[in-house]
Amino acid sequence: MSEGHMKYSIYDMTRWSILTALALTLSVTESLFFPSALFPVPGMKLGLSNIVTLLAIYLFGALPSMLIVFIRCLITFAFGGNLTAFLFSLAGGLMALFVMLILRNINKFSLFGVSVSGSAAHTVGQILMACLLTRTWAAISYLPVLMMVSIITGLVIAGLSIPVYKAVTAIHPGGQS
Amino acid sequence: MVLLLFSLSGCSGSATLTDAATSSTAAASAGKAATADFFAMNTYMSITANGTEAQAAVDAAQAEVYRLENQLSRTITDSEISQINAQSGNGPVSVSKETFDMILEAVSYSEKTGGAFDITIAPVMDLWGFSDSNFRVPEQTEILAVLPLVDSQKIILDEAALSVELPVEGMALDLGGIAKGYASDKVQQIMSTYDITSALISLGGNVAVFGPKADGGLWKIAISDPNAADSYIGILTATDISVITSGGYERNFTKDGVTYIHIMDPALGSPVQSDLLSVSIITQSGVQGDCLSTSLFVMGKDKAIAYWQEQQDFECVLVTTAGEVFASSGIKDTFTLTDEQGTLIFF
Amino acid sequence: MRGYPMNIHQKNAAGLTSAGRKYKPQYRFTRWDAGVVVLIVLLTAGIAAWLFQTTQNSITEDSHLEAVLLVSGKEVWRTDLSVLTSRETYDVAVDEGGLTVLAEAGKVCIETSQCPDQICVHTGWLISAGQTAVCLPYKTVLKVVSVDGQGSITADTSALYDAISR
Repeated sequence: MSEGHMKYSIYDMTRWSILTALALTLSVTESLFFPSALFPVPGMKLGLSNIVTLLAIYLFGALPSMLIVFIRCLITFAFGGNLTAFLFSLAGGLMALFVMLILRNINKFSLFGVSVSGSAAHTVGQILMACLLTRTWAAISYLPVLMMVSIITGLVIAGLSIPVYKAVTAIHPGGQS
Repeated sequence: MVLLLFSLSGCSGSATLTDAATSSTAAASAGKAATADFFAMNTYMSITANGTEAQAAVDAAQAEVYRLENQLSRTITDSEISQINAQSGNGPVSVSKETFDMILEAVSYSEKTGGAFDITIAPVMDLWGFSDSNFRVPEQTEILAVLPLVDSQKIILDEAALSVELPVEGMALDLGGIAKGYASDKVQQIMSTYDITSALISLGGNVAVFGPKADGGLWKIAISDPNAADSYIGILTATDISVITSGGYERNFTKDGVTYIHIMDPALGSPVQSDLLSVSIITQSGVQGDCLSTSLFVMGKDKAIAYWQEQQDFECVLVTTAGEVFASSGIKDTFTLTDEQGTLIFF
Repeated sequence: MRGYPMNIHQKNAAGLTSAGRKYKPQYRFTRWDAGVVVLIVLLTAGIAAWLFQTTQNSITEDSHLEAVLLVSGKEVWRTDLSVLTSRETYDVAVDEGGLTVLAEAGKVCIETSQCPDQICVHTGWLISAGQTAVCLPYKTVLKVVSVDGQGSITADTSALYDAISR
């Protein structure tokens, strides 16, 4: 209750939790509307839960964003049980986060640039994990297709995130946490 | 808008890898490999050949196995063996030269191994339920009743007339311990008449290889771990050889906590209590490999080693119940143990 | 709660790590963003070209593992194990019962079976060319083969063994 000496308050952590829950909801909803059987190439999806990741790096910072990504993947795994899917999400998510944080720090990029490089990095992370699991470089042949798709999804995610960010920060004009 | 973006993303062509993935089964024509997978002699068989006439060779091999099964199977009513069994106690039965020679060879192995190998073991196998998978543990009195029927020396073989006679009613032959080995030899003979460079034959775990591998090297033949179905204890690097393994782990049943294996001790009429978990014979003759793998298992470690020292016309690998692996010195340079910490003793 | 959120805000505004302060996101598409997109497109094109070239050259050396399922000697199902990114299952139904095959990246196994002896299920995962899982009662064989760029079975030099004697 005495939030003075803790770096992050319970208030902060609650907000992270809410966003983590939101990310989970988005990924479940997305899979309901676009079942992965529809797509010609495995791994092709919109990635709506990345809206949360994008918001988190601006709203909260590096460490909370990392936590959100990790916990989101962990809970999906706990309820879905598929180890391969968990490893893929984690690899993609962390790779995207890493790249997005770098671009965020260089002030020249808008949300669009950050998001596109994030989704491209997500793809690369997943393909590298696929190569690791199958112990062959064969999965790289999916790279061109998935990369082009990720550019588009990156732009879409950024477009969707902007109104949300504006709405969230409008509620607390004083401090932007 | 999202859906529009989606339909756009669906149009880019798949990678070249998917082309390879959706391509059909192995090309049968010139220079490639061909494989025949089928079930026969109550087990799974796989025959692969490399070379211009590979497909023809494996087709002929498969046909030959089916032919032998029809001739030798105890469960096929018209087979020569079934006829011999049906006529037990009723006089001689004419057979083909092939079957006659096979029975003759089986009897000679019976003699050589001091009765450890015996094709007249059929009544005992029926008693324990191994023939129809109705497993049961018979009473000692039942065993004693059929034991007199088990004796290869009682078979009457007339070479001039090419006939086989089982003099006592109730006697029956089961060539399960020699048929696959014989089939393997015949298959190799037939395949060598085709234009192929190499072949890999696996008849229910009886492995035979000849010729150099597609990449020019020697074949790597693993020996199954009797304790774990999906792993192996060692690898033999060789070609132009057969590796035949016998062990209780493949066919057995458990009743009241006791496991009864399908390898019988002909002297006792019950599953053999061996100090060996598996025996692998490495030799050029499939028949010898098949007969000896069962015999040496029945003999146990010490007698098996003594037999080898006496005959010396084959190599072998023995896995004991204590977890040690013994191998004959002839394969010292070509056999390696998987587990570097394991005990490998050459004799 | 009375005054609680306001206090937090003031404390946060005073300098607790709050990324919103230091990193205000820009909403407009900048030249740098365009640069990123172009960069990615170029990279992708480059990789695509390189891939095309290498598959043309080494179409015979580039081999991968496939799982093949045979029922009574006839091939009923096949899948490329090196490109799987999620689980794939295949169900087989025969007169006497049925079994289910499970394939994941780089490995395949018979997951469940209604056969009485369960040897096929106990065989476990198959991970290298030449390995097989056999269900005798259902006359079904699951095996892993090494297939080259043209779809022909090759000898897999990295396979643990060519055959297993049992």
